[in-house]
Amino acid sequence: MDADVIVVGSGISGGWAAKELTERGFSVLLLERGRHIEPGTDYVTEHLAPYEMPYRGFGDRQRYARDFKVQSHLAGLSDANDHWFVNDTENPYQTRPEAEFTWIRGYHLGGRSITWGRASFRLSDLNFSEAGSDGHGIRWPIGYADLEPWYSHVERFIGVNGDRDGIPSLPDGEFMPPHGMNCAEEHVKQAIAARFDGRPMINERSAVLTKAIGDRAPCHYCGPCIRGCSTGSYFSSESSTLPAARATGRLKVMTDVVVDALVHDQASGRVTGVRVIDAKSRKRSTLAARVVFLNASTLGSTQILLNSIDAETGRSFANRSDALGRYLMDHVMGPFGTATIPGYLDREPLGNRPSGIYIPRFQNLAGQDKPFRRGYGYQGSAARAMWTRGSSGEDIGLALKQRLRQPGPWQMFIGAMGECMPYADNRVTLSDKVDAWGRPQLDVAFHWHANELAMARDMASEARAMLEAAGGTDVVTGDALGPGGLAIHEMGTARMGHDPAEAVLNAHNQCHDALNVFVTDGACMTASAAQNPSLTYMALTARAAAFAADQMKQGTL
Amino acid sequence: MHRRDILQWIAAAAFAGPAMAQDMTGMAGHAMASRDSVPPPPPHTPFAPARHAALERLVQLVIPADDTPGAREAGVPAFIEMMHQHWMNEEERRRCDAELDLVMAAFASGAAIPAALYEGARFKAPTLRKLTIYGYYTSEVGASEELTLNLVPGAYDACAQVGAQDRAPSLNSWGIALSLANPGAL
Ligand SMILES: Cc1cc2nc3c(=O)[nH]c(=O)nc-3n(C[C@H](O)[C@H](O)[C@H](O)COP(=O)(O)OP(=O)(O)OC[C@H]3O[C@@H](n4cnc5c(N)ncnc54)[C@H](O)[C@@H]3O)c2cc1C
Repeated sequence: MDADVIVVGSGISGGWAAKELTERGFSVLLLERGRHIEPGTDYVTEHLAPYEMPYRGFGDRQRYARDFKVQSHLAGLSDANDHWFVNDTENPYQTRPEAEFTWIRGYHLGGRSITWGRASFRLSDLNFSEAGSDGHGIRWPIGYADLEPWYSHVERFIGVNGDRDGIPSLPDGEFMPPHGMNCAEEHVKQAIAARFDGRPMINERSAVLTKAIGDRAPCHYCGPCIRGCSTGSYFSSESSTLPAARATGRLKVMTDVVVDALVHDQASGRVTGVRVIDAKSRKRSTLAARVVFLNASTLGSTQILLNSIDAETGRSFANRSDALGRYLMDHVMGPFGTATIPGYLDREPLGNRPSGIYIPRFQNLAGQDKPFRRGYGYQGSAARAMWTRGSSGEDIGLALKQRLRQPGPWQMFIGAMGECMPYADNRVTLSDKVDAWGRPQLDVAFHWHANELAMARDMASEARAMLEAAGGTDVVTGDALGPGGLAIHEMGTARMGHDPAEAVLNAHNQCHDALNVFVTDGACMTASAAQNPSLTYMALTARAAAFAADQMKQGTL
Repeated sequence: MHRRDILQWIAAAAFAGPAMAQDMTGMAGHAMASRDSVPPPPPHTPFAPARHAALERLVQLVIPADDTPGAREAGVPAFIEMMHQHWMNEEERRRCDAELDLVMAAFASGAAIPAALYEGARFKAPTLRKLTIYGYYTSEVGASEELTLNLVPGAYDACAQVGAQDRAPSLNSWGIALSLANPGAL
């Protein structure tokens, strides 16, 4: 045995698996396909001014057109952060224009925990009970009560700021004080409350510290968290879970190791280890453990499972249900509204707040009141317009210079994010093309269905109604949906469910077809809800790890 | 402000109250990247002397010096030449070249400047105007002398009072003004 448990992937969920299992007394071998990252010293663009970067933050666009065709769909990809995203030429997958999926990812220690937007919301009773009750998807094998203590456990450790808002469909958690809204946001909040019943606008709940936790300092408001944070002020694997796991003395990390497949023993019905490829030398070998946690991200873990083929059946050992790779979801994102909010010209935020506001789902909460199922919320913020507003206009000279010297008017942006249904034809399979490591590439097909399209139209019209109610001028809205994947919340391709005939994982995230394999990243999601999902991945991971630890202690695993 | 200057952070934190200052002192122990861990801009070939001179004159007309330096002193011509060579696509490059041709013709015509740079209300070189603005406010002079640059504010005040003389910040929460990485941004 190389360890009690092998954890595959060091991102948001894998870091949690490593922490919980080592703290419970088990040795963990954490396998990460990307490079090692030293917190602080490898955050090479942190606190750089625009003129200290080669393209001043505008990005090396010719290189992106060549090698970052997919990743450059991410608004804000630039020379300040492109080292956190994969080179698409070196990491190919198949997709097609009529069912396009943009797979946005980073391969390095910590995964997307370094680049994530930190929005952290719980799912609610409503979310767990709706799935499978309205003709869409299947029932969750767990309810909110099963996850509630694990949400608290996670929030206390990572540090989440927010208010206890008392909204049943968005349960409160263990919060530090929020950063707070600015005056334009307060204005919009009050206008919406006055005009619409049951539509509170709240502080975004965000995994950024406003109080120290151990040697993690509170936020210093530099702004662009995505560059990495040497003071550990937001949750990442580097700032939080990996140091905790290391402190036990039971963690071993191997970077530059690509997990290719699981080794399945037909006779015992168990997995005995993992097949790996050295990312640099391409040498193949096998590592053995009692239990395997797959946390290689939704599509990464699904690829590993699809590629774990039994010699006898010629099929993945984990796919008796035929659900593996199907039911791919990503949040409905893209529709937005912007407006100028008049007034407050003697006020301006000081410091760059790394979060914003949230308007929780207000549709279909008590019975159906919209021409689509489930619902959506909005994230957003208001800020004074910057000098960039000068780029439109015809003026030059001192008039232009003086015009841009002062902050511009307040502008409010709200962007919607809504629930996506699981459909059998939104699917990933293995293609017959291979990558540089000799692994079959993923083939990803995704398209929006009628429910998502109806939701998108409503997102734009409700955004307009709210911004107009707030007295906003120059209201602009959009209802276009891009390809799937742009929300970067891909999930559902190895879903949980009681019935092994329709789900890949059981109520403890164990593979129905091999109980010593746990999948606790987004692949496990039975339904997507409308909330940003990573907090739920963390809570599910901590819960599954505690279960696995108990079973190992009892000798049943 | 030097980004690695911890003392500055602590000074900033002192404004936010003693509790914050104490928390921030704890930051001194955290490792950070070295300043030179990011490459410089790629080397570029300047435009031919006559075109370079015209570009210099144009950018200074778009953003002149007053109590702070103008676009020429801020190094905007070199920025535009670098973007022209290493960043623009073919269509944008052609558009810039054509605009500079028009500008040179206007300068050579002996007609009054800036009137000759306009066609009715329309400025004849909109792409170069845009690039001048991008280049100026992301330069050290534009970002930190003309506007204010505080890379590590250390504290947050959601709605601070601003006076009529206070200059706007040059950065937003993304730490860059905007991303031009996507096609069609120019
Ligand atoms: C810009 C951005 C903003 C976001 N904002 C939010 C937000 O506000 N809120 C939210 O909830 N979510 C947000 N997300 C999504 C969030 O980042 C993901 O949901 C989360 O990181 C998923 O965690 P994970 O552990 O499944 O995968 P990841 O964090 O992606 O980690 C997976 C790890 O596995 C490694 N790996 C992959 N394949 C293999 C293999 N074969 N062998 C070995 N290792 C492998 C990868 O290198 C990586 O390190 C955002 C994402 C991005 C990029």
